[in-house]
Amino acid sequence: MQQRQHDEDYFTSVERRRRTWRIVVAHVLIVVTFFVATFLWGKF
Amino acid sequence: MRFTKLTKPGSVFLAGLASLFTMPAVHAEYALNMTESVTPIGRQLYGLHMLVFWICVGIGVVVFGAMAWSIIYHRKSKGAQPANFHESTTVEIIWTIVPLLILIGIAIPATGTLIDLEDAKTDAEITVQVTGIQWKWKYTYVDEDISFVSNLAQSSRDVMKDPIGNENYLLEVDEPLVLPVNKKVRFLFHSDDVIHAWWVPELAVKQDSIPGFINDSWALIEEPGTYRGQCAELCGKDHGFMPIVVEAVSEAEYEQWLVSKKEEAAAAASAAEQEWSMQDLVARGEEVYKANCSACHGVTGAGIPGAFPAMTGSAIINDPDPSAHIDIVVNGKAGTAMASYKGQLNDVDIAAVLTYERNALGNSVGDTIQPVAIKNAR
Amino acid sequence: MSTEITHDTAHDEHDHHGPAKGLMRWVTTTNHKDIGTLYLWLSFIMLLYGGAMAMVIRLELFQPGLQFVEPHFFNQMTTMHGLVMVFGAIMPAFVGLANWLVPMMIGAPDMALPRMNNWSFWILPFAFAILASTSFMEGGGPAFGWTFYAPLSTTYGPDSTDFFIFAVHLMGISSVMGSINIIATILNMRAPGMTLMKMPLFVWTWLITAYLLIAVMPVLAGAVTMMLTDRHFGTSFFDAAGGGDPVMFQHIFWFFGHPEVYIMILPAFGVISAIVPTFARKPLFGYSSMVYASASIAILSFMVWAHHMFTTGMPVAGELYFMYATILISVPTGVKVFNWVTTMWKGSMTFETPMLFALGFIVMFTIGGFSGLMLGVAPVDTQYHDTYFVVAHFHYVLVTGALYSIIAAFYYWVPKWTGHMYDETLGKIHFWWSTIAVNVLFFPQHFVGLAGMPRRIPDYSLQFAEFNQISSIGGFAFGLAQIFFLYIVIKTIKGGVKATDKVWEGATGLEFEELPSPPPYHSFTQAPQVK
Repeated sequence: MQQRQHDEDYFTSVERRRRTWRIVVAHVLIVVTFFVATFLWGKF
Repeated sequence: MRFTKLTKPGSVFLAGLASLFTMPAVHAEYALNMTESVTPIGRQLYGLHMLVFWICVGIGVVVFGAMAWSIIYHRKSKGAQPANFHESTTVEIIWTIVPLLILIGIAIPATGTLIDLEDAKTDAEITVQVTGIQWKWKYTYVDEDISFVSNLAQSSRDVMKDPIGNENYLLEVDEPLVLPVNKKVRFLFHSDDVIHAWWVPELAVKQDSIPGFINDSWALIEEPGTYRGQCAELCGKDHGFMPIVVEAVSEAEYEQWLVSKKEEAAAAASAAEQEWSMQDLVARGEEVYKANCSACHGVTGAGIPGAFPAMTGSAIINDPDPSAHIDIVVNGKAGTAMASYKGQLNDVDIAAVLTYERNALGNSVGDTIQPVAIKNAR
Repeated sequence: MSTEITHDTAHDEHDHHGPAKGLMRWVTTTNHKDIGTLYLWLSFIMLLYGGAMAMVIRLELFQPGLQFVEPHFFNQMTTMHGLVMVFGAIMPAFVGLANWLVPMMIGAPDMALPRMNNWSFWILPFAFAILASTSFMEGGGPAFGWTFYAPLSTTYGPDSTDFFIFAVHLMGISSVMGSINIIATILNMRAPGMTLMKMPLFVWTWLITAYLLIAVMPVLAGAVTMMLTDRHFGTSFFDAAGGGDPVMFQHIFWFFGHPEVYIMILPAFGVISAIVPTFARKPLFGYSSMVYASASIAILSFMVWAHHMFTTGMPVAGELYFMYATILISVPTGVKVFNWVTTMWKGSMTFETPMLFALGFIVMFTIGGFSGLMLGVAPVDTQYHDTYFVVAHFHYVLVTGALYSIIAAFYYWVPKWTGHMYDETLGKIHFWWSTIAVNVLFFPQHFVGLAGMPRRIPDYSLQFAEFNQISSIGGFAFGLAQIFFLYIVIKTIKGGVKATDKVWEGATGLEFEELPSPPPYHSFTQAPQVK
């Protein structure tokens, strides 16, 4: 019940949560890219 | 020496009195601006420095002036009513373009100066290789077969607890770099260990000395004199204690100096052929140890636990077979702070310091290491 | 059992849901305000810790000669002072401000990822405990400067360097998580109607800062990882003897290090852009140009790193490029200063403590900017580089810049946070005391630097004695002023005149216009409508 209640909230809608996760994943990828690129720059 | 009989409080009082009198002499310098140079490129740098400085002052007067005006006249306590303007593309464009033009005005002379500054090669008459070593400088005159190491002078080391009154404290060396005036000198920089930076403000030379790489820079000194500088890149414990002294002399004096330096080297070579007594080796070794080894391994040989090993009771030193001991001093130990000394010290000095380490600092192996043994180990 | 009833019960529960009691509240909290408070306290503790080390430095430099500490210990002090102030004091303070303010400013109930938020914070005390513990290890803590250039930090580093590396990794993980959280919050948690170009500048500058962080923290992590493998696993990234390149370390470090200085100043720009309009009672001049200037600064900050390396022997073409790009940064930075000054122009100004610190920021940050322009001119930089002139420069931008903006932010928002006004008289004393002291402390360092005093030396020749003595006196006075600040902070939290909801006559923004002082534990459970 409570879960459904939350789903209807502006901030906690399923769609918004999904978007949060997409943002997180995208930015983690940026972090990983820069980390790996550093080693390439260091002539690994 | 005449003061040795004074009681302790008496000598403290006298020292205090002396420092009181000498203080005004050494305490009178309130230098505000960049050191003026004795080289043409240095004078260019000084001019550029002043140009940018005055531009900053000008911008500062305008910006801070406008700010002060608002603070004084547009304050609520004076009944100021707030205006409501908050946007103007024209103004934004103006204060983007005007600074840009000012920057171009700075960039043009800066470009020319930089290109001159970096041209060390053209018409260089003398080449000196400068090697940074923790924590001393080694100078090699590439065309002259002259090479020596320049350490912080003992006169500075002796007064670190209370240097007031010591002339050129921390800016004095045992052997200065001697250069002739009015000749373009090219410096080649590199390092034996970590990164150092060779800096003499009056010569307007500051260049990193980097292990495995060679940098260059140049100076054309126009006035004879003594010019002092320091290492500028943090290079470990005694970074603050590796000064640079350049003696700029006339060409005739320089030639003379070259001759005397070569004679000195010849004398040292013949000394290395002789058999040395234990007493002489230990006495000389103590001096060498203080100047070259004590910074890490301690004056008493205690080292610094976790960073630098102790000399006292060291297994390498106390081994009756001296070969490992000779090897570590001559060749250093790769991957550690222990440097190779074959390029820094002559055979006699290495033999002396080895003998000293084996028979002092709490060790008593009882043998002597002769200079010939070092010569063979090279 | 109808949905109606469930709804009401849930709702009631929500409204009365306050913080848990006791110490566990702080350990397990996922509330952005609690976490913001934790960050701010951590940064204050680190400020005092790093400040104490600065006092040791100024004490040793009070007069020529080695009176108090050994050179090796002195180097540990300069290194730890730098690391603690950068990673412990300035950065967490801004993250703390972001935690407190971003959700309130954009009309969100909390951060997008509250549990990760807790984790981001609680990594830090452990990271700093590890870093601080190196001081007690055999061989001492890191003594190679906060820039830890190889090979001084690799082949020649003390054993404790590995702990330092681990601590830097933890700080980096914390920063990256914090940044992603802030990005997700700003991109995805704005109230209806809060378009990007309506966001307060503090939110904008933090969004840009967060992108700088996620781009450069992994580079720093890469650099220390390469150090670690060089030290223990036989690689030679930075060891010339093995085919590596010590200068490469500096390139990688400054690729992180230069954006890092903007990480420490962009949120400060946001704070000043909030405070100046409030006390000038006039909207911020050139909002959109401020946004574009911040973005330009951020982009340029990735392209100028090697201006820290003009004496390493780069090719002339490289030096020329980095000189041009560097002095170009003064254009968008200048735009910001001009916009603040124009905001004041024809305003109706009052001078409460936050405004005093903001005005102090504008003047002294600009002075730091001027010396920055001078340093950017490559040929002359060869003479300024690694001297006290540089020390003076970056302390003007970091102490009277970043730190002043943090103090200004505290005075500006603390009545909102606690519901108590701070003591205005004490605040003004704090400002004037700090400002006089900090200039006595850092201004003479320009002179000794120009006269030839290198940085990071424990002892100096006699010609620098006078200015160093003056500088030390200023240093001790500035240190004491921040103890006084601690007293003001505690006094304000414990009580004071009740603050109004709007706090300041000229205040704008959701946190002042839509929320009471202090705000409820959960700011906006219902999204506000932004017009």
